[in-house]
Amino acid sequence: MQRGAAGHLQLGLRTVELADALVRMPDGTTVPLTATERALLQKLAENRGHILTYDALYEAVWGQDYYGCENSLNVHIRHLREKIEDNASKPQWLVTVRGIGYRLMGEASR
Amino acid sequence: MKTFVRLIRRYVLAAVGISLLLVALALAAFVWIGVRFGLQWQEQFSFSYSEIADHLQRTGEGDFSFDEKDADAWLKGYAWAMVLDDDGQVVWQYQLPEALNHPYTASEIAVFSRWYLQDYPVFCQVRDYGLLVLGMPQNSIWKYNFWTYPQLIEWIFYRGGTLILGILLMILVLCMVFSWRGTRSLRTVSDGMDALAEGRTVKLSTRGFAGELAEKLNRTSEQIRYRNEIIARRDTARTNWIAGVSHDIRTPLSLILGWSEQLHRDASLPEPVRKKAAGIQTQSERIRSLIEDLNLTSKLQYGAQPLRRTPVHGGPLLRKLVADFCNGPLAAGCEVTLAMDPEAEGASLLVDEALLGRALDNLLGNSVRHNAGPVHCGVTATRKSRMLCITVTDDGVGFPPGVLTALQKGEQGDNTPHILGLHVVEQIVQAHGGSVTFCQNEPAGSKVILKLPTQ
Repeated sequence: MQRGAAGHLQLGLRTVELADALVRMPDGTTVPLTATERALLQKLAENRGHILTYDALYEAVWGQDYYGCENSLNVHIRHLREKIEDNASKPQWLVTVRGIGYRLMGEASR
Repeated sequence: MKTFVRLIRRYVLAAVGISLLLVALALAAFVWIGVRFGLQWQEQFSFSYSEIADHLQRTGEGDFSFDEKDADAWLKGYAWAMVLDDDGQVVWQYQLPEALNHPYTASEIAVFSRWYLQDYPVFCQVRDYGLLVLGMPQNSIWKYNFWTYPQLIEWIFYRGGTLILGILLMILVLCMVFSWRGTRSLRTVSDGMDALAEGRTVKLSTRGFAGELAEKLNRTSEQIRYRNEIIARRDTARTNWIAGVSHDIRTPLSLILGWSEQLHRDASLPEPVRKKAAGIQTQSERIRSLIEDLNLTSKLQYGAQPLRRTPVHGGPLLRKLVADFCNGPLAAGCEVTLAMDPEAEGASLLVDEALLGRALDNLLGNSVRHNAGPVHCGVTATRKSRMLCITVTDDGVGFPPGVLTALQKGEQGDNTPHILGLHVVEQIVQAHGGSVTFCQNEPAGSKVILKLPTQ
């Protein structure tokens, strides 16, 4: 598991400041994260390199059972990818493990 | 037990039948004897004494003769005959022995008419010509003087039949009563045997004629109970011993794992050495897994592993278990896909998550271990009647035929390591009230179907 400084997430050329809830682009611009997106990214970062089930993510962010709420999670993940990925349709960092959940890939596994 | 009742009934019927048969035989014997001797009598003596007396005529003074036939024909079978007048004189005689040819006094007549005359049985008939005395050969018949009350005779003749019937009825009733009491004692014994056959203990009353049987059953029951107790104690001792040994093994094993991991990470070591250290780590993990399986299987076998069941839904459970495996060290070189039916997603289960996780780890870890190179594993879940069916497949080499037959037949032949892991899977699923089926996957690989009961 790789961690930068506390609350500091390195995704290739981008950096995510979890404490400030923003993504710093290579060209220096910043993109804010919604509270939900920040919470998701936090959970994924804590378990970086490991698969997190839909249920675990949902419970971590919304505190409820995941059962039947796949869509809302997908939507947030898609928004997140648009912010942190070079190509949201072909994610390299926030990958889907089909049927199970999502995984935030570590630096070394790139 | 129906056998006993049938047995008793058979004996009762036999007893009654025999009694009736004996009575019938006795009656038949009586009748036969009567007829036989009657016939014999008829042969020996052609005519009865009254007939003879009727056909004897007095022809003039002191002369007697028979009509129709001569004296020899009439008196065939008799030893001698004589006629006495009122004074006791012999007025006619036929073959009368000299010793008897004399006058008789009234007293003498009175005596011989009832019994014998010098050992000759006699019959007397009174006619107008006097007293005809017919003598039979000595020892030919036995005269008996019989007297009784007329009421007794009446009673025997009129009530005799009822008496015999009454006796027969009493025989029947007594047979029934004794056999019913016998059935009762035997029934408790047979109930005791049924209980023993079902594995329960018995303690029967030892009274009654089946008392000895009951006592033997009690002793047998006590023996069985004692043996069971010994077995239970031995099982507990064995489980505790295995747990103790596996605990002792874990300590040095943890050290080996720790050091080998350090060596693996030590950048100052040459690459081949680090590779070897990684190898030591893998094999030591495998030993640890085996020890855990050994411990678990012994606990499950002897009922010392209580299930910590929690209510879960099929979807979250399987996602968690597969994710845990994929996040673990065994998943290197294995790609797992999970697919679930909507009904399986929401199926309610009451299961021990940790144990099921162990079962899945063993299955998927097996696929990794026995297949060189990357292997694709699939986990699918469907809901059928009241069961959740979880199918775990891989596209590797599949089960060796020997292993497959051993698994399918349930034999505990040689406990080779990979069977131990699969045996634990079986035990875990069975402890949940489910079942496991092992087979080959199409077109290649292995397939395991776990069925768990839903709520």
